[in-house]
Amino acid sequence: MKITHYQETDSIYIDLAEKTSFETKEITKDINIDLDEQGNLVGIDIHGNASKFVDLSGIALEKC
Amino acid sequence: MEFTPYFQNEVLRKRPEIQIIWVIETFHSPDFMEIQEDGRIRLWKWIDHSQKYLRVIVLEDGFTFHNAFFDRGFKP
Repeated sequence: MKITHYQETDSIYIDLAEKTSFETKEITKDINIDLDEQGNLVGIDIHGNASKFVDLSGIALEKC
Repeated sequence: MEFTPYFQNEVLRKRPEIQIIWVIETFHSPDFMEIQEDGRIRLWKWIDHSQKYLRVIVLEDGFTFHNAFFDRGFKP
């Protein structure tokens, strides 16, 4: 998984899989999701106002 | 015209089906256009090759491409 923040446009892409997108679905004005051919989530496209949706100071990976 | 790093690094990489020429055509001769509350511009154009509407999002400056995707939910 890779999260990239573009400060200039306040955009974040959360890359969940190496696969490319087969279909993009709009969730809100600022958020799309990318799906593969089987409908699995492969990425989250937060192309505007990303800092409203993601607390970049609080990202942590917890493995249980 | 310009491209944001987001468009170059994420959009084109993740959605290789989208051809840059279609993005430019959408910018120059959209079928539909809307201006968002934040000033960014949404443009749609029917792409015969893909049989879908392409949506292109341009920044509020009016000439920087920021996002593009096939908008299956778009109803003209």
